[in-house]
Amino acid sequence: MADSSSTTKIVLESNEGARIDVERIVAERSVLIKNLIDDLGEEAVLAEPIPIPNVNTAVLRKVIDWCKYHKNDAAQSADDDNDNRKKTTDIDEWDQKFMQVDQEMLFEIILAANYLDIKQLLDVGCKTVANMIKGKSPEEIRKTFNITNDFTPEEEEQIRRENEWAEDR
Amino acid sequence: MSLIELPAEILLQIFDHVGSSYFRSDLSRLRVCKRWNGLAHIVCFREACITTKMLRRMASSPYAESSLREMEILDLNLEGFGTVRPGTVLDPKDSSWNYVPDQSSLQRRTMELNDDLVHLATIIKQSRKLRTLRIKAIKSSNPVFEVRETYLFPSTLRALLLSTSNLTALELDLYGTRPEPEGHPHHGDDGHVCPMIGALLPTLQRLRLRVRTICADALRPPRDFPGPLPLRVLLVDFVLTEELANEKSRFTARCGGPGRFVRLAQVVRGAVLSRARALLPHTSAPKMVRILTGTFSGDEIQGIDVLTGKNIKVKKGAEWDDDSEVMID
Repeated sequence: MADSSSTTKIVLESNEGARIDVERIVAERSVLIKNLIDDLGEEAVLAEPIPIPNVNTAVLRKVIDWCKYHKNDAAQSADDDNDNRKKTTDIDEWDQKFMQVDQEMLFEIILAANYLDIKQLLDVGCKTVANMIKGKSPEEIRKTFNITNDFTPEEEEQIRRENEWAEDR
Repeated sequence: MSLIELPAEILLQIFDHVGSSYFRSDLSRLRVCKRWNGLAHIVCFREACITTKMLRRMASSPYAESSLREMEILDLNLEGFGTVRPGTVLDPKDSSWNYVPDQSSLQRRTMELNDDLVHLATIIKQSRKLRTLRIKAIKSSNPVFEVRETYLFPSTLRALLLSTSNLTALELDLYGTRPEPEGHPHHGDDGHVCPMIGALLPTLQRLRLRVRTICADALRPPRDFPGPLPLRVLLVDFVLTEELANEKSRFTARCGGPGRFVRLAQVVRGAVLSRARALLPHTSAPKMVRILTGTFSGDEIQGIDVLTGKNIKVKKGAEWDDDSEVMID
């Protein structure tokens, strides 16, 4: 892991044209970038910046911050226990602070993590949103996330009837 | 960018973290908006927890079947209707008196329940993704009903087990229902479900059994299965078989098919234990293999850890596979 190439600088370019230098080991938290380097070879990657067309500068910087902090994390092992799928929404303290951003930014980070294939960051993002949903009533959810209820009263009643058998009573 | 505009696979992942139970405990939480409902519905019904009451409603709902087609986990929580011990004098001032069903309505409800479960078995058969099945049958929660009644027929249990395929986890906790007594309409039925449990072994990773009748066949994989078995957790709890022996009743562990009555819990225990030992070399990565022998000492239940061969004690009421509650002699 700690070979000299891990400190090699790689340049990432946001969709606004901003170039950001990162250590190779940091950039490789992204499976997308790691595969790119593996496929093209380091020389080719070093020669010019890697364009990240779907991510703006602010979000890219934020994602890189996360990757820097987590650069030495062990790769997550594949969960071999599907029956016991972890439902825990615990998030470690640093990540919680990291995710204290406005909703717009939060969703952009999630999208970027998804695009760049950074599973752990995607997980933390999804858990953060899940925690915002838990314990809320439908009306509170609509308010929190600015969602318009696009059901007509008749449609809503129909759905209620379809699920009636499963009501916990 | 708003939450509801996120791609479907990400919203699904978020709802996955929220958990099926959040939606199930209040189904109005599905109806935030159309897109939300469409995706939350999938996560909500991935896990189903079905009670006796719910089964009745399911039988008359045209929508239940399609909702359950994608379920991965099914928890079946059954409760008896209640039988009063013959000769019990009930206090008419006791409010629970009002709920004591007469024999004919009790019989009707029992038949209904079993019909509903057989119907559920046809739904299970369609649900190709079902991997975890947990059936729990408790006695009536009404304290007046001291006698555990027979409300889950062996033929019904068999239909449920036969409807599954590729299960990775099976849990049967059936102490609250009795094997059918003599004179019962289903008495002639051979209630031997153990070979059906054994037949599921080629895919099972977890098997937990707390049943009133059991024999070593439950731990016998199909003869033609080349192995190794994926079984990692095996727990057999004899606690109530012991209780059953103490009852000195005619409800002995009638397992092994007609003519092969096993009268003593001890004998069954020994057979199951040696079968579990025999199974061990054929499993690829066993993590926990325990037989709880049902002897109490204080608030602890004694058992045997088959992997280490050591005697163990498990705190009464502890989770069956809770490691921390175990003390090794």
